[in-house]
Amino acid sequence: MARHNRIKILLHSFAGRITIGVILIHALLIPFLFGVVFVIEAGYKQQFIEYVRHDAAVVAEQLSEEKAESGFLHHLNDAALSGGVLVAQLVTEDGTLFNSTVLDKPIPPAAFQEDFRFGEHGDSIYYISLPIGTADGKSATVQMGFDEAPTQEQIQKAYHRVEILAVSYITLSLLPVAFLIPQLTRPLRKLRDTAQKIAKGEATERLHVKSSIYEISDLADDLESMRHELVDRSQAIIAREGRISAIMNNVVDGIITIDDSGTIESMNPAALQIFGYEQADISDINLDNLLNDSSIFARNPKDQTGLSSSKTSITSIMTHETVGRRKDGNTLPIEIAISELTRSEGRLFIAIARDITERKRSEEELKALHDDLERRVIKRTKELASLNQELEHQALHDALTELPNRLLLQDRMHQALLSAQREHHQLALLITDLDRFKEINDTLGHHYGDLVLQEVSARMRTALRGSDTIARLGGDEFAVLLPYIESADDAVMAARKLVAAMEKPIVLEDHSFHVGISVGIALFPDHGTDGSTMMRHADVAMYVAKRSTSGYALYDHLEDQHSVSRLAMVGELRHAIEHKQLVLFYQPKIDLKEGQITGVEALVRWNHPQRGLLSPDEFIPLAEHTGLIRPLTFFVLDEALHQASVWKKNDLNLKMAINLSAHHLQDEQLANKVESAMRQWDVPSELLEFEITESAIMANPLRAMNTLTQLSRMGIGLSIDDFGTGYSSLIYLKQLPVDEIKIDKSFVIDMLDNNEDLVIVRSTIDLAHNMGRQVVAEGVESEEVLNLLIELGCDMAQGYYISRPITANIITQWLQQTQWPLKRGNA
Amino acid sequence: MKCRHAIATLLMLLLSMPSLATNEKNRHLVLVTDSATGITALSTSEIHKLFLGLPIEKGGHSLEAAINHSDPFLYEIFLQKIVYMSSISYDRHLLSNVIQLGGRRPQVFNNTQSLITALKQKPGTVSVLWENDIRTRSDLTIIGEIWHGTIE
Repeated sequence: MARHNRIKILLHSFAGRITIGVILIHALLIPFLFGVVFVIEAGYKQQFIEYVRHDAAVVAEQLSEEKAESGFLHHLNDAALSGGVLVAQLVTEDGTLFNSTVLDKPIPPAAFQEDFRFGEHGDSIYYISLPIGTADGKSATVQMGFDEAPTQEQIQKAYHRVEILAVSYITLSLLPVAFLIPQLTRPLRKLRDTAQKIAKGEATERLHVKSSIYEISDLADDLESMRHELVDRSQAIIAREGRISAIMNNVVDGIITIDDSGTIESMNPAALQIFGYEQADISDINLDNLLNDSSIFARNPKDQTGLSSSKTSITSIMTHETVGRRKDGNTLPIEIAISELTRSEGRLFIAIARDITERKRSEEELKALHDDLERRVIKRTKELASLNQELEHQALHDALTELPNRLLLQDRMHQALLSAQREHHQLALLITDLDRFKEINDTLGHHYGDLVLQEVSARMRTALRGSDTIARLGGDEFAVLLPYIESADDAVMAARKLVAAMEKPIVLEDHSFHVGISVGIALFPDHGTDGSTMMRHADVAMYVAKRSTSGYALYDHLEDQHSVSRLAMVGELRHAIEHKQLVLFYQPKIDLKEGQITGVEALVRWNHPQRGLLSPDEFIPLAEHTGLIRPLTFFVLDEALHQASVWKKNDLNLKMAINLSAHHLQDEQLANKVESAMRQWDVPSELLEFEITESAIMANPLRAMNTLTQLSRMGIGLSIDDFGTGYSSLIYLKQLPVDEIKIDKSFVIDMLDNNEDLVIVRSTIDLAHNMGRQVVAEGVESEEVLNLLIELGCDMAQGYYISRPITANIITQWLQQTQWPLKRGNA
Repeated sequence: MKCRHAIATLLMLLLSMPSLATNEKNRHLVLVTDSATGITALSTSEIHKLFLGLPIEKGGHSLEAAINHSDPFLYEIFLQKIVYMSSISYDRHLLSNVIQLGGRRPQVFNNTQSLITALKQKPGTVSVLWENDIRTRSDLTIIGEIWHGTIE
């Protein structure tokens, strides 16, 4: 067995392989040498056979020509003496044998075995027989034997030489091998020894291998480089391990390594401290001793990266919070981060454990604070949401009436239009405006105005459906959105309800107000398909409604043109006042008892560049609505006083009556402005009279009384205009410092045919006289009326029968022609 | 295992050799021509000349030699008994005859059957054959015996 091993080692050694290689190489050469010898051998044999056959043929030729027996012997002896012939005999036809006398005894013909190949029959003699025809006509056979031994010796010699040559060749070729092998194996053996030392970690000595063979010297250099590198790396690893060890020993976190079966492989000092163990205890504990629930390791995902187990790699890191168990049995909260290291020898878990007792406590405190903060935030959020809701409500609703404002109306309008377009149904927008609200607001103040608006909004809510949107657009303007109507009749019905809701007087404190309402209706899609168009058209309809008796109106595109012109008129009116395009006409008043002219009423006309002369009814309401009434009135005052001044200078002392609106009665500066104008034009107060409508006074009687008292004290005459059309309070009327009452022309015109009007006129005259006031009848258009008024005791009259309103230039002329002379001494 | 198998095979061959050795046959090497040639015998000299490539006229026929190369032993007998040369010398001689005398080299046959066919196709052609190869053929004529003996 040992020998077998040695042979095996030899066969697998470098020297053994080289030796075997050399032998094998030359073993191929040796057969070649023997092959050459074989060829030589064949040549020798061929040459021998050639010689034998040729020689035998020659002998046979010679014998065939011989006749005597002595001749036979002679030729046979010659052949025998030629060398190499061992048998030479002739056998005749009759069996006579002639043998060479110089040779040994003949071979019996029966024993003669002819050869045809060299070495045949193994007798070292080549026997050949050739038939001949003898000279006497008989046949015979020449039998000869040739010695094969010389040729065989030559062949043997050749073989011997080749054998010697082969042995010598192998010997000589193995000698260099024997010399070369140690040269190869010695440095290789040294390299092997060094490699073994390196493997054992004893690679401190420098490798010295000298060899003239480049490959070996290069290998030695490479091995030395590798050794040097390994030494450097080993030192680096030692240093790194030292650092890692220092870190492991000083790190605050506990580091534990656990093998695949849950056995603890190592614990650093921090880990030992956390769990209360000693270093010596590690071998006796496993994972279950450290953790209440070690299944978190089982939950660690495996082979996520798909790396084979032969590679070292960290596949995953998972952090858990769990309960640790100390050696003394106490538990503690810990945070543990587990990473899985795959090695060739199996998986290794690295657990980094941290005592989180303090952190847990802090977290609980923080959680309590957080919960408290969250509660506060929720509370504050609710408050903010409530405030936001309130702000949103305020932004979208009118503060006074709590109705949606214009913004919200627009939004609902937009939604309603989308819905109507989608579902193909109609909707309506109603714009309303309160009649006489302005007078209430102006005369009684905003407080009453606000109360009226609240009452109006409440009535509108009651009158309409809950699904309808009622919005306040501003001032006394409201809008109603009817999001779904079957036909225009539905919208008209809603408008009627609104009008009806306002018919009952509004009673506030001690005051009772009749507030009318005008409702303009615009329908979708007939009158508009967008919000702004609907608003505009409803507004136009509302202005139409103001002039109607029903109190409501559907939009009509023809009226829309009027609306546009109305808007244009505002600008034009402002321009007309500034550029004095307004002109004053004067209508005379006569004293019925004296039959004389006492004064004139200044009536304004607008000389419109395109539309011609416009009556007050066409622009005074516009002026009142837009606030232009103030500059307009002062323009009239200025012009009228100017004319009065002119007339006065011409000795025409006509009392100038000027109309004041309710608005002026609220103006505390009115008296000052009037006084200033009178002073400017040098017109005495006796020539000036203001006419105020009954409704203007009754809108705010107290304020009106103050203003009128101031004017009265200035000596200015005061007259109540359109008496009988309003709701005059006789109490206030009694207290007002007015000088005369002007009966409205609607009573005067028809009093001949209408007894009621006649009663009113008569009663008014009587009432005024009883209160010490003079009476002026307007609308006198016939002599009969004039006579009746005289009969009723009316003091003065005014009307077309006496004179139409005429310009200042014409009135001088008129005075000269009229039947009523100018009353002298007015001033 | 392979080595053992080779040794066993070799032993089997060696064991079979005695049986082959004892399988001796009595043979006659004869000179043959087509029966239509009409000749019955040739002298030793005529045979020698014929197979050395020299022209021979016999029975109104110009004889031609055909060399039987189908059996090495037959050929060696032929060389020794008829042309008295080694095979190399015979080849050289025939080549020399062709070059020097302008004659034709005798046709060589490596197959007995093709040789017989050639003898039949061309009368006057003479060759050597084992007697037992032509024993049953009456269309061929044995015109002389070259050798007889036993072969192993």
